[in-house]
Amino acid sequence: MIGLLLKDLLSLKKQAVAYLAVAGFYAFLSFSNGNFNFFGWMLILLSIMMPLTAIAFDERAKWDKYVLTMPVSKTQVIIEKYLLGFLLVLGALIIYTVFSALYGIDILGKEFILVCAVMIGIAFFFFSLLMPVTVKLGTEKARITMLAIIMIPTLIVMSIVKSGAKMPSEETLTRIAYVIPVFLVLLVAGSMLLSISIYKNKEF
Amino acid sequence: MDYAMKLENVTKHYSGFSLDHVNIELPAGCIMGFVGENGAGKSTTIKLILDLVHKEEGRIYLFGKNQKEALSLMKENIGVVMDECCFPENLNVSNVNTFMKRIYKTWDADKFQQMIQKYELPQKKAIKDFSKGMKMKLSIACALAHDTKLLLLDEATSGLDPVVRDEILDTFLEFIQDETHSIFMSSHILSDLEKVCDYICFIHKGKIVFSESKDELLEKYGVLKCSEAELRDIPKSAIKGVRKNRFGVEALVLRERIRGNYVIDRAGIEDIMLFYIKEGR
Repeated sequence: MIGLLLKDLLSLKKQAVAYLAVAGFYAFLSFSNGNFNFFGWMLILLSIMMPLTAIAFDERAKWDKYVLTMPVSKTQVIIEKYLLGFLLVLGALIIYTVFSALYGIDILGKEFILVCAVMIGIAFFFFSLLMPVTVKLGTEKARITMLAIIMIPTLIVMSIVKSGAKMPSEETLTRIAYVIPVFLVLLVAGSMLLSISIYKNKEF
Repeated sequence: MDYAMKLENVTKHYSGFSLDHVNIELPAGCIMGFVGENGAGKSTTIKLILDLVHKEEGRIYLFGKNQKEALSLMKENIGVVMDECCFPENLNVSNVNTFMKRIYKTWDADKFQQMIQKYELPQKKAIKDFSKGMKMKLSIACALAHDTKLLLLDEATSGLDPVVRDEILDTFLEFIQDETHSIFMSSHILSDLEKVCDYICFIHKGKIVFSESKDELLEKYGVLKCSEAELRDIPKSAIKGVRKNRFGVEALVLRERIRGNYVIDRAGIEDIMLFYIKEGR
């Protein structure tokens, strides 16, 4: 597993430098306009795109048919990609926290922790939806579906907001806040199991 | 006899192509050449052995164990070289060593580096800038840098120049010095196979035509050159294939069934394969 993770991190090295350059640009923008959350969101977006880039590299090299001849199981191949995603989201959060602290934001404050929690939630939500589709269709064919996966939930939320629906009470929101982590854990676990099952049935 | 690999009635259907009850036995300590034209089923067979595609019927044994068990326990002992280098192209040799030693428990970094030096491969150059020969050498170094006992090669020498091919064949001959080591290699380059193989397995349209010792094969078959009239006197059971030319006919024959004074030349693997394929058309 560590070997697979290393292989992905090494092959993403150049990409990571490019992504960090983009992130640096957004950090500068955020510093100038004072909206620091924007920088955080960019980092999160880049971090969930990286495992998909790693999958694209693997596809191009036909790595899968090769790695499965090594002492590695199909389950490990998939779990490693999720692990890579989690590590990169964690990395993005660390960078975001460091920059926020430098910017003078109270990183121990309730508001900052809540923003981070929402970021993690959204990242894992989209990552969990994107992964099985990518494993099933491959990165090329999955692109359009990915767009739909990102757009549909966004449009649903926007239309609810636009329809002028009454905001739920604070009590309801608090309850939802407790349920969301459980929902996310189940979603990630379900997504992982689905991806493993798709991958196990694949032929190379 | 111990077998490094055994396939019994392995079957796989695709639309327009079937691998039909394939039987192959590779004795331990031997090199078997796997020949056949494009699309005959060579790569599919290798993928079936590695469970990269799922068989529909039949049984596969590796090192005497059934395939599932062997592949879950003994992948350290299986080295594979595909027809292309399957490492992401932005990696380099040093990167490959870094992560491969964490994938294989038996990875021998010294042995890997020795092979890299022998093949004169650069450590820091990206794989995308490697020539085809360099990529193949890297794949072979990886396949042999762990505790490999069975080496599976899918067209590993195709597209390489004769010098590189010769170097690679030497590596295989060195590897096979250990009698517990075995090689199963598919190739189009029949002269290479004739040079190194103990056994030849010939697949045609998804069926195994023969799987025999190379020496017996070369002894068994011959190319008979005669006139069409003379050919009519030869028993049909002795003739495996016929090719007409402007001087008469050439026929692939079973030497022992030919009686009389005929000119019978040595039949190479290529002759045997071509006669069989043309006869089948």
